[in-house]
Amino acid sequence: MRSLPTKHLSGFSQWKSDLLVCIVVALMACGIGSGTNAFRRNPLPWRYLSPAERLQAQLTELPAASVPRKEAAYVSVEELKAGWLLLDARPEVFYEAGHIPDALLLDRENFRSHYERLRPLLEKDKAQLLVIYCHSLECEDSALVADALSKLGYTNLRILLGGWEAWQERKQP
Amino acid sequence: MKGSSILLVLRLGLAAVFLFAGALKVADPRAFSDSVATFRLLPTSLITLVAVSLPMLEIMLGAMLFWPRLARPAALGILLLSLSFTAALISGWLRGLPIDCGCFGQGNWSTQPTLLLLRNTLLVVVAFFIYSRLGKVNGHARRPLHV
Repeated sequence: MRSLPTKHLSGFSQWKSDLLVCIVVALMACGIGSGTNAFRRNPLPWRYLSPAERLQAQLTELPAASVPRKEAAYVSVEELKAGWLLLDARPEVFYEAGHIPDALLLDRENFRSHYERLRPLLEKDKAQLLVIYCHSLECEDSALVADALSKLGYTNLRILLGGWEAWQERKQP
Repeated sequence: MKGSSILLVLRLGLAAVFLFAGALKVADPRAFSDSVATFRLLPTSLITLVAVSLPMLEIMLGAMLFWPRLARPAALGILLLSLSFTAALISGWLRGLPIDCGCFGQGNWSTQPTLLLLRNTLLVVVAFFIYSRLGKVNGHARRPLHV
C-alpha cells in the first residue's frame, strides 16, 4: 500500500461533514427566518403578493371612483412646470434621502396611509394635474401609483419620464 | 504578509460582507421578496420562505466565519450560495429579465448584470480560496488516501 500525495486534497477531504453542517445551518435559518416573520408587526404572507397585488389590496379599503378610468400620460423633466403637484412613489427611505423640491410622498407600499394623509389636498380637485415619479425608467412604482389614483377617480395624471434619475441628471451643469 | 494573515483578512472581509448583506435584507424582507420574485425562478408559495430564510442563512454563515472550528463549513456554504446566486443571475440575464438582485437590501432599480456577475465571481473565488486553504493553515489532521 502506498499513500497518495494529499497536498492537493487536504482542503477537500472533509467536504461531506462540512456539507452536513451547511445543511443543518440552512434548516436552522429556515426555522429562525419563519419564526421571526411570524412575530413581525407586519408579517409577510406565506403566499407572495406582487407589488401590484399589494397595492390593489390597499385600494379595496378606499372609495372607488365612479368616473371612467383614464391612462396616465408621460411628461419629461424639461416639461415640468412650477405649481404642478409632484408625488414621489418611491419607498419612504429614498424619499427621505432626497426628493424633487415640493414633491409629496405617496409610497406605493404604504399607499393607503399616505393617501389618507394627503387626502384633503388631493380630493380638493380630482381633475388637478398630478405628476408621479419613481426612481428611474425601469421602476414600476409610478405606473402602479398612477393606476391606483386613476381607480380612485383622478383624471389628470402624468408619469415623470426617467423619474428621480432624470431629475438629478437634469440638475447637473 | 504571511499566508495565515491573508486568510484571516479574507475570512473577516467575507464575514463582514455576508453579515452586512444579511442584516440589510432582514431589515426589509418585503423588498427582498420582491427582488427574489424578479428572478421568476420560484413558485409564489416559496418566495416568502426564501426571502425570510436566506438573510438569516447569510448572517449565520457570516458569523460562523469568525469561529475557527466552523469557518470551513461556513466557507463551503458561502461558496455554494454564491454559485447559486451566480446561476440565478445568469438565468435571469439570458431571459432578459430586469433583475433587482436585492443583494444589499432594498432595491428600487435593476442592477447591472455584468457588475453583479463580477462581484459574485469574486465572492466565489474568495470563498473557494478560504475553503481550500483553511484546513492547511489550521493544521487539521488528515488521513492520507490509500490505494
